[in-house]
Amino acid sequence: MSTKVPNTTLELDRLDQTFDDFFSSAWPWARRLAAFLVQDQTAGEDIAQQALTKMADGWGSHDNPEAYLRRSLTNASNNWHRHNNVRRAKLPLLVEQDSVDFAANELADALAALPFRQRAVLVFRYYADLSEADIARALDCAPGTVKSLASRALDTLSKEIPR
Amino acid sequence: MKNLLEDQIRQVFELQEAAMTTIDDPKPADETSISNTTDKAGLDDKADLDDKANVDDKANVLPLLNATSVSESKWRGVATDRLDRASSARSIMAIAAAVLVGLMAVGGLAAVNGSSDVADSTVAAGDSAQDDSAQDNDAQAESAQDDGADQVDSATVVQPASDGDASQSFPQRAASVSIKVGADSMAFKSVTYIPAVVDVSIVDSSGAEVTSTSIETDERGFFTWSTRGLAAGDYDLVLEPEAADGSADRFLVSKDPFTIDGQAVANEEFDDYTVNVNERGEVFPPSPPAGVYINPGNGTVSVMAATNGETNVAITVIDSAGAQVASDSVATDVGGSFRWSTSGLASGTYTMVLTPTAKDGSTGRHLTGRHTFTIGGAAPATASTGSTDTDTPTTSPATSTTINRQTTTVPADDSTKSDDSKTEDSVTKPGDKNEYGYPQKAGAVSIKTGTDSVSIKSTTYIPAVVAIAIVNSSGSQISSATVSTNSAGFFNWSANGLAPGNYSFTLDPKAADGTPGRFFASTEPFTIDGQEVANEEFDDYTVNVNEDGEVYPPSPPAGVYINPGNGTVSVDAATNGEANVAITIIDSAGTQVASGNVATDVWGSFRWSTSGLASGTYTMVLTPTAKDGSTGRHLTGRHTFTIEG
Repeated sequence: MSTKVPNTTLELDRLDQTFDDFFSSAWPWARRLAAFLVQDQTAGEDIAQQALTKMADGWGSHDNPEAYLRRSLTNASNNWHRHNNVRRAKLPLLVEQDSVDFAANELADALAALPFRQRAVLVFRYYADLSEADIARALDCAPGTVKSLASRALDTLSKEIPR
Repeated sequence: MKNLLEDQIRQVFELQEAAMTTIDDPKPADETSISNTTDKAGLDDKADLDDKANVDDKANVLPLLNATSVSESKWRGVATDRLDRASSARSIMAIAAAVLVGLMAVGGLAAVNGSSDVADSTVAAGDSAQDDSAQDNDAQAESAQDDGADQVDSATVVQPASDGDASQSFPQRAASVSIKVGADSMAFKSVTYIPAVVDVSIVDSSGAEVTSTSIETDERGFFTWSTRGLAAGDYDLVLEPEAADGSADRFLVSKDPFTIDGQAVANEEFDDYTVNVNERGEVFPPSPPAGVYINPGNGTVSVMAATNGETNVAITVIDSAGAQVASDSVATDVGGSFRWSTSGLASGTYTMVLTPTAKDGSTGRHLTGRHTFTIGGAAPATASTGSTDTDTPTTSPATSTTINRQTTTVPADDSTKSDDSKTEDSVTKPGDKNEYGYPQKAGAVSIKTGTDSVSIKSTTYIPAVVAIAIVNSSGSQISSATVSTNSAGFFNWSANGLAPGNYSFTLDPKAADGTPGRFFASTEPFTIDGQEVANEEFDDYTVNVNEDGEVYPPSPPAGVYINPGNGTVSVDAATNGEANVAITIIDSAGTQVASGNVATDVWGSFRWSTSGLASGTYTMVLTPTAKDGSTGRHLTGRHTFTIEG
């Protein structure tokens, strides 16, 4: 894995960090994270840009900017995912869906089809290597919920892929 | 099987990321030199993507496919078709998918399993791109550091020249190094993904090795370690893994910096934190005791709280000078809850430290909680903050001291009059001390009101008989009862048939053993507003003490995720323990339009959905009841959602 989402516990003193520094370090993983969450690179980049733009306005007020950014990305991705579902439902026959398609094998198919929060847990756990506590913080849920979401997701995937 | 699946998931993400990185820094796929191109905040990437994606997507991915040792036109055709679609959509996700299709067509899942020659070649191809991207990003990190950024990467490579075997799909270094620091201690956890032996050393800022050890990971590669006695200063944690099966060159050395600042409070909770993976490889979410209710008063402090599973809890009380003034160890009940009290505390501010340990010896299941309280004087709010957030139960150490809802106590001299002011802690007035050290009145009175009802629960801490009277705003007594507490002093009572209006009730306890002078009466105001919605969740609330006297922190379903769309709504949530959940959906006119009943799984989680809803705004009411019939474990949750037209 080449670009890791920073682990909260490693985010030491960054009081002197400028937003430009933060943007430079956060952009690569933020857009990837958002892309995986929404399964769409272009949307992921938009989401990451919007989240970072908002953070620029309030820079200096975030105790833990990485955690804040993860949370923002998650919320924005969730909103996008929700609205995209509506959009897709309304436009089933007009155009071919142009976004995303991770759908290439059973596992990628199943990953893409997971409910947002279940997929998000897998992205955070297996792509970003975040701890359950950090995942819970990003998803705004209890650590136990992270565990159950992950368990459900793995259970679903294990049924979807061939033995 | 689970580990295999997890590996496969990582493979999917890695391939997808490799495809993204390919577009980030377009270059021939067979180029093996490290690119010095720095990802300039991604802005250039997007321009590159817009300009070149259609062309470079194929250019970058097809060589990857060609690198495989099989040339069946079948999968190539499928992959190329996918690539065409991907290019038209400029979606790198589809490119990764195309790669996967090719790989799967060649080797099926064996490609992911790495169990055949074909698989080996495909993994190598994927890793080639991955390694490139890793090197690029390492270059980025170095570039950023050169630019003065104070960047800390969770996986810092210190020996990029080391020749890790590119054919291996495992991480080339210990991943996700999570470090916790205390006043003079550090703990970390990490993972190598395969069984390994990890040489751990801590090096100070002068390069001298302060301490070292060797750790065996569990079968999934998880490992942890902690040490104490570190002086304040900057250190590096150096991890040097070797595969347990003896295979060479699987790992690089990693080095992660950390700082000991000698400040005890800032990360104190991590001093006792070890790991969130126990000896059996099970992952527990570490958490401090939750729902902590501390009731200080008259030299006595009592605590009621719940832990995440069976534990013993070490309790220490520290005064403002840092001196330990009381300590004990208690065993929790089957629900993980515990109670404890001590007396004889002088006036002042104290900190209660709760350090749970799992009864089975597993580590990492709990974090230490710290809670400040005051004895005597004008006590500030401490534990009972009256959270009303039904969607986000408190979980983090910083917010874990919330649980009792609408918990109020009245000033000590309010036995004869109503007072709207509410304080969070029992504070006795001067002269109310007695020789027994027990609270002078019923403590922690929790009031729940319904459409025409009121329920109260409280505790006297010792067996008592409590006379309860409800008085309306004109001073007329309209209801009364006498209830006996259980052996721990807990009691609850409810009345209904109340008309809208302002009321108060009086609690007048008498010690069950007849000892006089232990209690004085207290009065609490409450209001019945006749609005069904406002306090609906309390209608089903009974008490947080079950028939066995066990205390459960009542909570509504947590982590509720409602997904409305196209006439269908689904809910995905978790309860605090095993429960059956009644679900009703009410439209904006108050009419029930759907209902269901689901049983939760062993974690207390559940899912449910219904369809056919018209456009509009609805309220979903989730009412859990414990499967074992115990009461007071759950509160009703209400969540509004909209079906879009």
